[in-house]
Amino acid sequence: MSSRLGRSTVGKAFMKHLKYFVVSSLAMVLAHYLIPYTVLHHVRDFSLFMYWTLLVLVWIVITSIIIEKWWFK
Amino acid sequence: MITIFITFLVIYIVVGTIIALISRRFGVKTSAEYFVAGYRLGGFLASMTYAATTYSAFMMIGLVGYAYATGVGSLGFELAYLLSTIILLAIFAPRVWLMARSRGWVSPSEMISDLYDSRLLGMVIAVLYLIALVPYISAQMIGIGSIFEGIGVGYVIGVIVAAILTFMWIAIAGIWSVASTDAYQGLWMILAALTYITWLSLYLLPAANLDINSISEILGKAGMLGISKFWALPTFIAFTLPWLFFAITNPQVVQRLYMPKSEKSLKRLIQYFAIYGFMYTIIVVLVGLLARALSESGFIPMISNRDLVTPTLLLLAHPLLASFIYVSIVAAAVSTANSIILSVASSFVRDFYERRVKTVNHKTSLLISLCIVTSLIIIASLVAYFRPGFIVELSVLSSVILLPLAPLTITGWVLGNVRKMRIEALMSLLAGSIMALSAAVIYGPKKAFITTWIGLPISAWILITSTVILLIGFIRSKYLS
Repeated sequence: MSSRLGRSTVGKAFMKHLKYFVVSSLAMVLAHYLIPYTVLHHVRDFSLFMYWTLLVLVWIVITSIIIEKWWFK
Repeated sequence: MITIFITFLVIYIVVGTIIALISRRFGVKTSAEYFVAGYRLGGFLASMTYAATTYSAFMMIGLVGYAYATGVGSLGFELAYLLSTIILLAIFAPRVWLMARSRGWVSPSEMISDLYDSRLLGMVIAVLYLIALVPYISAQMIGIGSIFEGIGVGYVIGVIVAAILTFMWIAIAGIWSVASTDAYQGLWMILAALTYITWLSLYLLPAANLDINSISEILGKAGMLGISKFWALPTFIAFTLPWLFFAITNPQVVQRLYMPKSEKSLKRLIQYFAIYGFMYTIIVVLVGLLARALSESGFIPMISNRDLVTPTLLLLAHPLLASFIYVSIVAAAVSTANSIILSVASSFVRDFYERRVKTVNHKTSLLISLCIVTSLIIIASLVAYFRPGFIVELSVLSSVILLPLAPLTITGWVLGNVRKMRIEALMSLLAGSIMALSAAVIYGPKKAFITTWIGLPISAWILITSTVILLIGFIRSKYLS
């Protein structure tokens, strides 16, 4: 598929490591579903709230860094 | 209260209209300028229009109610959407942005039509958008009508105001006026949400003698902090699955990936949207949970209709604060409705007119756009006015009906050359959407949403069916032809 336009190109480093990002992201999505339903389903404090909040926050930060540094050439 | 609400509403409308009029200076001559801002939207506008389009009146009414009635599971549901959207955008947005420019995509149906080299596919998708999204637009207008009704201004007036505002802010300068008013409305929404949680935390909770420890204890005892019965795994999957793919199935958000003017603007779109979505979700869910703590402690009565949690809380607020928050809900509904209408209109203009004629007359294109926008607003308003049960309920299913577009879109983006799969693509789309609509007719839309077959929700079966058909197409095109 075309990933070029004028001077813009999807970064080589990003394309090279894309599979790692995809696998890690799938792991994050799985963790979003599995941990709450296996470990945290009976909690009586804010730990499940904090778990989901921190999981998504961490992935937002990591993704932001990745797209800032490696998205384009 | 009515006078203060109307004052806030007038301020909101006047400022929004001034912003929309200012946006005319960008100039609109072609459909690409009218629908995708000529691919020259700045990062801030791109991110705010993405956020305001995504987050509808559901957040302040529906999600607050879900958090109140069902607990922390509602946070998992809404954050699952945000997590998957950020992932999908990080993976696909740069390529889609580049391809949209190089191939001149304006509408999302045109994108699929171009990837699979099938005009029929584009037209079927445009019709599918119409079926799936008109009930959703009507639901936004019903939301505005209900707020007006609750305050005492009148339901019909609310629907009329919604229709006029939606039309006006589209007609002034197309996507330029929609995006700029979206940015303004997005700011209003997040400011109102911040004010709402601040008021709850600093005024209402101390008045009820509640601190973080007592809130945790009360909510823990009520079973609101773990996985409640409502959020059994099949229900959680049924709720989240259509939203996991929202970013690639709903035209109003896919189209927004074409618009940023530069690489930097595209990055900002995703980064700012992520921050916005995260903050807004946490605040809204917290409001619902804190309201539940107030009910459990006896400070306010238990609220049986979860859609009335925000209106009940706002009865305790100063009319200035309540009006500010109510207008933010109107803003959330208008910003979602006008973006969807413009996006659906773009599909019809591109797939039924511009791509079928040899020479495009841009004035005719813009005239057709205006006619489609007007028709859609009239249809949605009439549905909102009569509130037919089935159509209103169908709005819940909009993302499920559009779900078959997920495998189709991902395959097209990843493989690029998918022309040989066009027959299976069409079959995959038709099979998935017919399954969704049949389930809606057989079970009723609301029940269809959570009904399971062999332990899996219908949305999962739709996704599996569409993917398998497309996979057959892939194998046939790669190895058998």
